[in-house]
Amino acid sequence: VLKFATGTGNGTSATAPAVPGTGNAAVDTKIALAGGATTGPFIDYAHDVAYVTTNGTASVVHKFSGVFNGTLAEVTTGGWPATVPGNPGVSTPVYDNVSRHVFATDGTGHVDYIDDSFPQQSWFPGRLFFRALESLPHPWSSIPAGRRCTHSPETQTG
Amino acid sequence: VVVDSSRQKVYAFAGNPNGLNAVAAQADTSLTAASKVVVNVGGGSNNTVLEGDFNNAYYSGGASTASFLYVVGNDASNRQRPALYNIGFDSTFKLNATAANSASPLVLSVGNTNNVIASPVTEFFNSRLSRDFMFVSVSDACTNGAGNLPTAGCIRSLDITSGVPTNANAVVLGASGGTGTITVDNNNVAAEASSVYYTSQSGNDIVKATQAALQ
Repeated sequence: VLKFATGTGNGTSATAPAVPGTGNAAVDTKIALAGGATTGPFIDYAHDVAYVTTNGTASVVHKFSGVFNGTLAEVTTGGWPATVPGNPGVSTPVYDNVSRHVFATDGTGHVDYIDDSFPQQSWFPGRLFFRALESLPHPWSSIPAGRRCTHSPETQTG
Repeated sequence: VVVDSSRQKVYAFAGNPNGLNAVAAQADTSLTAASKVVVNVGGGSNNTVLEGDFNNAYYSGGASTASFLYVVGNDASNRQRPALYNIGFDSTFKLNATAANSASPLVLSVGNTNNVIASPVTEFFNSRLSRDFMFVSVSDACTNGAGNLPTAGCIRSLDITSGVPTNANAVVLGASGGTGTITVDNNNVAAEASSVYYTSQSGNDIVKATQAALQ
Protein backbone atom coordinates (compact mmCIF):
# COMPACT_ATOMS: atom_id res chain seq x y z
CA VAL A 1 0.00 0.00 0.00
CA LEU A 2 1.50 3.28 -1.10
CA LYS A 3 0.38 6.27 0.94
CA PHE A 4 1.26 9.45 -0.87
CA ALA A 5 3.13 12.26 0.76
CA THR A 6 1.32 15.42 1.67
CA GLY A 7 2.64 18.81 0.65
CA THR A 8 5.91 19.04 -1.24
CA GLY A 9 8.24 16.23 -2.04
CA ASN A 10 6.16 14.14 -4.41
CA GLY A 11 8.46 14.76 -7.34
CA THR A 12 7.99 16.85 -10.44
CA SER A 13 9.11 14.62 -13.30
CA ALA A 14 7.48 11.57 -14.84
CA THR A 15 10.91 10.36 -15.93
CA ALA A 16 12.46 10.78 -12.53
CA PRO A 17 9.81 9.49 -10.16
CA ALA A 18 10.02 10.17 -6.47
CA VAL A 19 11.09 7.35 -4.18
CA PRO A 20 8.73 6.84 -1.24
CA GLY A 21 10.42 7.99 1.91
CA THR A 22 13.27 9.74 0.12
CA GLY A 23 12.83 13.49 0.34
CA ASN A 24 9.14 13.05 1.00
CA ALA A 25 6.75 11.60 3.53
CA ALA A 26 5.23 8.90 1.31
CA VAL A 27 5.14 5.42 2.80
CA ASP A 28 5.25 2.17 0.83
CA THR A 29 4.15 -0.73 3.00
CA LYS A 30 4.75 -4.24 1.68
CA ILE A 31 3.61 -7.59 3.01
CA ALA A 32 5.04 -10.69 1.36
CA LEU A 33 2.42 -13.15 0.13
CA ALA A 34 3.48 -16.75 -0.09
CA GLY A 35 1.63 -19.08 -2.39
CA GLY A 36 1.99 -17.87 -5.94
CA ALA A 37 0.52 -15.20 -8.13
CA THR A 38 -1.78 -12.65 -6.61
CA THR A 39 -4.82 -10.95 -8.03
CA GLY A 40 -5.77 -7.30 -7.68
CA PRO A 41 -6.96 -6.34 -4.20
CA PHE A 42 -10.59 -5.44 -3.57
CA ILE A 43 -10.88 -2.64 -1.04
CA ASP A 44 -13.71 -2.37 1.46
CA TYR A 45 -13.27 1.28 2.34
CA ALA A 46 -15.97 1.26 5.03
CA HIS A 47 -14.09 -1.30 7.09
CA ASP A 48 -10.56 -0.31 5.96
CA VAL A 49 -10.09 -3.85 4.70
CA ALA A 50 -8.61 -5.40 1.54
CA TYR A 51 -9.24 -8.86 0.11
CA VAL A 52 -6.59 -10.54 -2.07
CA THR A 53 -6.36 -14.01 -3.57
CA THR A 54 -3.26 -16.09 -4.30
CA ASN A 55 -2.92 -19.10 -6.57
CA GLY A 56 -0.09 -21.59 -6.47
CA THR A 57 0.31 -24.59 -4.26
CA ALA A 58 -3.03 -23.55 -2.77
CA SER A 59 -5.90 -21.26 -3.71
CA VAL A 60 -6.27 -18.80 -0.88
CA VAL A 61 -8.36 -15.74 -0.08
CA HIS A 62 -6.56 -13.31 2.21
CA LYS A 63 -7.94 -10.43 4.27
CA PHE A 64 -5.95 -7.41 5.38
CA SER A 65 -6.94 -4.84 7.97
CA GLY A 66 -5.74 -1.30 8.58
CA VAL A 67 -5.25 -0.66 4.89
CA PHE A 68 -5.42 3.13 4.86
CA ASN A 69 -6.20 4.30 8.36
CA GLY A 70 -4.31 1.87 10.54
CA THR A 71 -1.44 -0.56 10.44
CA LEU A 72 -1.58 -2.87 7.45
CA ALA A 73 -1.67 -6.49 8.61
CA GLU A 74 -3.06 -9.80 7.40
CA VAL A 75 -6.02 -11.07 9.40
CA THR A 76 -5.17 -14.49 10.78
CA THR A 77 -8.15 -15.06 13.05
CA GLY A 78 -11.77 -15.95 12.36
CA GLY A 79 -10.86 -18.47 9.70
CA TRP A 80 -8.63 -16.15 7.68
CA PRO A 81 -6.87 -16.75 5.40
CA ALA A 82 -9.42 -19.00 3.69
CA THR A 83 -8.10 -21.91 1.63
CA VAL A 84 -10.30 -23.03 -1.25
CA PRO A 85 -10.72 -26.83 -1.05
CA GLY A 86 -9.06 -28.76 -3.85
CA ASN A 87 -6.88 -25.89 -5.05
CA PRO A 88 -9.04 -25.17 -8.12
CA GLY A 89 -7.68 -21.67 -8.64
CA VAL A 90 -9.50 -18.58 -7.49
CA SER A 91 -10.16 -15.26 -9.19
CA THR A 92 -9.93 -11.70 -7.97
CA PRO A 93 -12.33 -11.28 -5.05
CA VAL A 94 -15.27 -8.90 -4.96
CA TYR A 95 -16.89 -7.78 -1.70
CA ASP A 96 -20.55 -6.88 -1.39
CA ASN A 97 -20.99 -4.40 1.44
CA VAL A 98 -24.66 -5.29 1.99
CA SER A 99 -24.54 -9.07 2.31
CA ARG A 100 -20.88 -8.91 3.40
CA HIS A 101 -20.12 -11.77 1.04
CA VAL A 102 -16.77 -12.02 -0.70
CA PHE A 103 -17.28 -13.53 -4.16
CA ALA A 104 -14.78 -15.29 -6.38
CA THR A 105 -14.86 -17.73 -9.26
CA ASP A 106 -12.93 -20.94 -9.10
CA GLY A 107 -11.38 -23.08 -11.81
CA THR A 108 -14.25 -25.56 -11.82
CA GLY A 109 -16.62 -23.03 -13.33
CA HIS A 110 -18.39 -22.03 -10.15
CA VAL A 111 -18.93 -18.82 -8.27
CA ASP A 112 -18.20 -19.21 -4.57
CA TYR A 113 -18.48 -16.82 -1.68
CA ILE A 114 -17.23 -16.30 1.82
CA ASP A 115 -19.72 -14.92 4.33
CA ASP A 116 -17.67 -12.37 6.24
CA SER A 117 -20.59 -11.12 8.34
CA PHE A 118 -19.75 -13.56 11.14
CA PRO A 119 -16.71 -13.49 13.44
CA GLN A 120 -15.80 -16.87 11.97
CA GLN A 121 -15.97 -16.63 8.20
CA SER A 122 -18.00 -19.28 6.41
CA TRP A 123 -17.11 -20.70 3.01
CA PHE A 124 -19.94 -21.43 0.58
CA PRO A 125 -18.39 -23.24 -2.38
CA GLY A 126 -19.85 -23.86 -5.78
CA ARG A 127 -23.17 -22.17 -5.27
CA LEU A 128 -23.50 -20.92 -8.83
CA PHE A 129 -22.33 -23.11 -11.68
CA PHE A 130 -22.43 -21.02 -14.79
CA ARG A 131 -19.86 -22.28 -17.21
CA ALA A 132 -17.58 -25.08 -18.30
CA LEU A 133 -13.95 -25.15 -17.37
CA GLU A 134 -12.12 -22.01 -18.29
CA SER A 135 -8.82 -20.55 -17.33
CA LEU A 136 -8.66 -17.96 -14.61
CA PRO A 137 -8.64 -15.19 -13.78
CA HIS A 138 -11.43 -13.01 -15.05
CA PRO A 139 -11.87 -9.40 -14.21
CA TRP A 140 -14.41 -8.85 -11.51
CA SER A 141 -16.18 -5.70 -10.66
CA SER A 142 -18.66 -4.33 -8.23
CA ILE A 143 -21.38 -1.77 -8.13
CA PRO A 144 -21.54 -0.76 -4.48
CA ALA A 145 -24.79 0.66 -3.22
CA GLY A 146 -25.04 4.34 -3.96
CA ARG A 147 -22.37 4.30 -6.61
CA ARG A 148 -22.99 4.59 -10.28
CA CYS A 149 -20.50 2.06 -11.47
CA THR A 150 -17.13 0.59 -10.82
CA HIS A 151 -15.13 -1.78 -12.90
CA SER A 152 -12.38 -4.17 -12.06
CA PRO A 153 -10.86 -3.82 -8.61
CA GLU A 154 -7.73 -2.36 -10.08
CA THR A 155 -9.70 0.58 -11.43
CA GLN A 156 -12.24 1.31 -8.78
CA THR A 157 -13.74 4.74 -8.77
CA GLY A 158 -15.62 6.42 -6.03
CA VAL B 1 -18.13 -10.79 -12.83
CA VAL B 2 -20.15 -7.88 -11.56
CA VAL B 3 -21.78 -7.46 -8.15
CA ASP B 4 -24.67 -5.03 -7.86
CA SER B 5 -24.94 -4.24 -4.18
CA SER B 6 -28.01 -2.08 -4.64
CA ARG B 7 -30.14 -4.85 -6.13
CA GLN B 8 -28.16 -7.70 -4.51
CA LYS B 9 -27.36 -9.38 -7.80
CA VAL B 10 -24.23 -11.19 -8.97
CA TYR B 11 -23.33 -11.43 -12.66
CA ALA B 12 -20.78 -13.74 -14.24
CA PHE B 13 -19.57 -14.18 -17.81
CA ALA B 14 -17.76 -16.92 -19.69
CA GLY B 15 -16.86 -18.05 -23.18
CA ASN B 16 -17.26 -21.80 -22.63
CA PRO B 17 -14.38 -23.05 -24.72
CA ASN B 18 -15.74 -26.60 -24.66
CA GLY B 19 -18.00 -25.61 -27.53
CA LEU B 20 -21.31 -25.15 -25.78
CA ASN B 21 -22.31 -21.53 -25.44
CA ALA B 22 -20.89 -18.25 -24.35
CA VAL B 23 -22.95 -17.22 -21.35
CA ALA B 24 -23.94 -14.41 -19.04
CA ALA B 25 -25.30 -15.52 -15.68
CA GLN B 26 -27.07 -13.88 -12.76
CA ALA B 27 -27.90 -14.94 -9.21
CA ASP B 28 -28.68 -13.26 -5.90
CA THR B 29 -25.86 -12.56 -3.46
CA SER B 30 -26.54 -15.83 -1.63
CA LEU B 31 -26.22 -17.63 -4.97
CA THR B 32 -29.44 -19.54 -4.40
CA ALA B 33 -30.41 -22.04 -7.06
CA ALA B 34 -33.80 -20.47 -7.52
CA SER B 35 -32.24 -17.14 -8.41
CA LYS B 36 -29.88 -18.52 -11.05
CA VAL B 37 -30.33 -17.49 -14.67
CA VAL B 38 -27.88 -18.43 -17.44
CA VAL B 39 -28.32 -16.70 -20.78
CA ASN B 40 -26.66 -17.88 -23.97
CA VAL B 41 -24.80 -15.17 -25.83
CA GLY B 42 -23.63 -17.03 -28.90
CA GLY B 43 -21.60 -20.08 -29.69
CA GLY B 44 -18.85 -21.25 -27.39
CA SER B 45 -15.32 -20.25 -28.28
CA ASN B 46 -11.90 -19.76 -26.84
CA ASN B 47 -12.68 -16.08 -26.57
CA THR B 48 -13.09 -15.01 -23.00
CA VAL B 49 -16.40 -13.25 -22.48
CA LEU B 50 -15.41 -10.23 -20.49
CA GLU B 51 -17.63 -8.38 -18.11
CA GLY B 52 -20.73 -6.67 -19.41
CA ASP B 53 -22.17 -3.33 -18.46
CA PHE B 54 -25.65 -1.89 -18.01
CA ASN B 55 -27.51 0.87 -19.76
CA ASN B 56 -28.39 4.14 -18.12
CA ALA B 57 -31.91 3.05 -17.21
CA TYR B 58 -30.49 0.27 -15.03
CA TYR B 59 -28.12 2.60 -13.22
CA SER B 60 -30.54 5.46 -12.81
CA GLY B 61 -33.42 3.49 -11.32
CA GLY B 62 -35.43 3.31 -14.49
CA ALA B 63 -38.10 0.75 -15.21
CA SER B 64 -37.01 -2.86 -15.48
CA THR B 65 -38.49 -2.96 -18.96
CA ALA B 66 -36.09 -0.21 -20.02
CA SER B 67 -33.06 -1.75 -18.33
CA PHE B 68 -30.58 -3.97 -20.13
CA LEU B 69 -27.32 -5.78 -19.54
CA TYR B 70 -24.97 -5.43 -22.51
CA VAL B 71 -22.31 -8.05 -23.09
CA VAL B 72 -20.08 -9.12 -25.96
CA GLY B 73 -20.50 -12.80 -26.79
CA ASN B 74 -20.11 -14.46 -30.17
CA ASP B 75 -22.15 -14.52 -33.33
CA ALA B 76 -23.68 -17.72 -34.69
CA SER B 77 -21.10 -18.26 -37.42
CA ASN B 78 -18.38 -20.85 -37.17
CA ARG B 79 -15.95 -17.94 -36.95
CA GLN B 80 -17.57 -16.90 -33.69
CA ARG B 81 -17.05 -13.24 -34.25
CA PRO B 82 -17.52 -10.91 -31.27
CA ALA B 83 -21.14 -9.76 -31.13
CA LEU B 84 -22.99 -7.39 -28.80
CA TYR B 85 -26.05 -8.69 -26.98
CA ASN B 86 -28.52 -6.92 -24.75
CA ILE B 87 -30.45 -8.84 -22.13
CA GLY B 88 -33.56 -7.49 -20.45
CA PHE B 89 -35.02 -7.99 -16.97
CA ASP B 90 -38.32 -8.95 -15.45
CA SER B 91 -40.08 -6.77 -12.89
CA THR B 92 -37.81 -8.08 -10.10
CA PHE B 93 -34.68 -7.39 -12.13
CA LYS B 94 -34.12 -11.06 -12.74
CA LEU B 95 -32.43 -11.52 -16.11
CA ASN B 96 -34.62 -12.74 -18.91
CA ALA B 97 -33.67 -16.21 -20.07
CA THR B 98 -33.01 -15.08 -23.65
CA ALA B 99 -31.18 -12.03 -24.92
CA ALA B 100 -33.48 -9.44 -26.44
CA ASN B 101 -31.48 -9.49 -29.67
CA SER B 102 -30.48 -13.14 -29.61
CA ALA B 103 -31.58 -13.61 -33.22
CA SER B 104 -29.49 -10.74 -34.54
CA PRO B 105 -26.70 -9.56 -32.23
CA LEU B 106 -24.59 -6.67 -33.45
CA VAL B 107 -21.55 -8.33 -35.00
CA LEU B 108 -18.34 -6.41 -34.31
CA SER B 109 -15.89 -7.97 -36.78
CA VAL B 110 -16.03 -9.03 -40.43
CA GLY B 111 -14.76 -11.72 -42.74
CA ASN B 112 -13.07 -14.98 -41.90
CA THR B 113 -10.61 -13.73 -39.31
CA ASN B 114 -10.51 -16.08 -36.35
CA ASN B 115 -9.75 -15.30 -32.75
CA VAL B 116 -10.91 -11.71 -32.84
CA ILE B 117 -11.00 -10.52 -29.24
CA ALA B 118 -13.21 -7.78 -27.85
CA SER B 119 -12.61 -5.52 -24.87
CA PRO B 120 -14.97 -5.29 -21.91
CA VAL B 121 -17.83 -2.93 -22.69
CA THR B 122 -18.01 0.43 -20.90
CA GLU B 123 -21.25 2.40 -20.66
CA PHE B 124 -21.51 6.12 -20.10
CA PHE B 125 -24.55 8.36 -20.14
CA ASN B 126 -23.61 11.78 -21.40
CA SER B 127 -26.21 14.00 -19.74
CA ARG B 128 -25.06 17.01 -21.73
CA LEU B 129 -25.99 15.20 -24.93
CA SER B 130 -28.75 13.09 -23.33
CA ARG B 131 -27.24 10.12 -25.10
CA ASP B 132 -26.25 6.75 -23.71
CA PHE B 133 -22.99 5.40 -25.13
CA MET B 134 -21.39 1.96 -25.06
CA PHE B 135 -17.70 1.72 -25.87
CA VAL B 136 -16.05 -1.49 -27.05
CA SER B 137 -13.07 -2.50 -29.13
CA VAL B 138 -12.02 -5.47 -31.23
CA SER B 139 -8.51 -6.69 -31.86
CA ASP B 140 -8.81 -7.20 -35.63
CA ALA B 141 -11.13 -7.29 -38.68
CA CYS B 142 -13.07 -4.25 -37.55
CA THR B 143 -14.56 -3.41 -40.96
CA ASN B 144 -14.10 -4.32 -44.60
CA GLY B 145 -12.47 -0.96 -45.23
CA ALA B 146 -15.38 0.71 -46.97
CA GLY B 147 -15.36 4.44 -46.37
CA ASN B 148 -11.72 4.23 -45.31
CA LEU B 149 -12.72 2.69 -42.00
CA PRO B 150 -10.08 0.63 -40.21
CA THR B 151 -9.68 -3.00 -41.26
CA ALA B 152 -7.62 -4.07 -38.25
CA GLY B 153 -8.29 -3.33 -34.58
CA CYS B 154 -10.63 -0.51 -33.64
CA ILE B 155 -12.70 1.08 -30.91
CA ARG B 156 -16.38 1.88 -31.37
CA SER B 157 -18.69 4.42 -29.81
CA LEU B 158 -22.16 2.90 -29.98
CA ASP B 159 -25.21 5.02 -29.22
CA ILE B 160 -27.48 2.70 -27.23
CA THR B 161 -30.01 5.35 -26.22
CA SER B 162 -32.66 3.46 -28.17
CA GLY B 163 -31.16 0.00 -27.79
CA VAL B 164 -28.54 -1.89 -29.76
CA PRO B 165 -27.85 0.09 -32.94
CA THR B 166 -28.11 -1.64 -36.28
CA ASN B 167 -24.95 -0.05 -37.66
CA ALA B 168 -21.75 -1.03 -35.89
CA ASN B 169 -19.67 1.37 -37.95
CA ALA B 170 -21.30 4.73 -37.30
CA VAL B 171 -18.38 5.89 -35.13
CA VAL B 172 -15.16 3.91 -35.41
CA LEU B 173 -11.54 4.77 -34.66
CA GLY B 174 -8.56 2.59 -35.50
CA ALA B 175 -6.93 0.98 -32.47
CA SER B 176 -4.31 -1.51 -33.54
CA GLY B 177 -4.69 -4.76 -31.63
CA GLY B 178 -7.76 -3.45 -29.84
CA THR B 179 -7.84 -1.83 -26.40
CA GLY B 180 -7.84 -2.67 -22.76
CA THR B 181 -10.65 -1.55 -20.49
CA ILE B 182 -12.05 1.77 -21.68
CA THR B 183 -12.38 4.57 -19.13
CA VAL B 184 -14.75 7.51 -19.60
CA ASP B 185 -13.96 11.02 -18.41
CA ASN B 186 -17.22 12.78 -17.82
CA ASN B 187 -19.36 15.16 -19.86
CA ASN B 188 -18.00 18.63 -19.30
CA VAL B 189 -18.77 21.25 -21.93
CA ALA B 190 -15.15 22.43 -22.05
CA ALA B 191 -13.05 21.36 -25.02
CA GLU B 192 -11.67 17.83 -24.74
CA ALA B 193 -13.51 17.30 -21.47
CA SER B 194 -15.87 14.58 -22.69
CA SER B 195 -13.33 11.91 -23.42
CA VAL B 196 -12.52 8.24 -23.30
CA TYR B 197 -9.15 6.78 -22.42
CA TYR B 198 -7.76 3.39 -23.27
CA THR B 199 -4.52 1.50 -23.54
CA SER B 200 -3.37 0.11 -26.87
CA GLN B 201 -2.83 -3.64 -27.05
CA SER B 202 -0.14 -3.27 -29.69
CA GLY B 203 2.17 -0.87 -27.91
CA ASN B 204 2.79 1.05 -24.75
CA ASP B 205 0.29 3.78 -25.49
CA ILE B 206 -2.48 5.49 -23.58
CA VAL B 207 -4.93 7.07 -25.99
CA LYS B 208 -7.49 9.80 -25.46
CA ALA B 209 -10.45 10.32 -27.78
CA THR B 210 -13.74 12.14 -27.69
CA GLN B 211 -16.81 10.20 -26.65
CA ALA B 212 -19.30 10.94 -29.39
CA ALA B 213 -17.05 11.05 -32.42
CA LEU B 214 -13.91 9.21 -31.29
CA GLN B 215 -11.59 11.87 -32.66
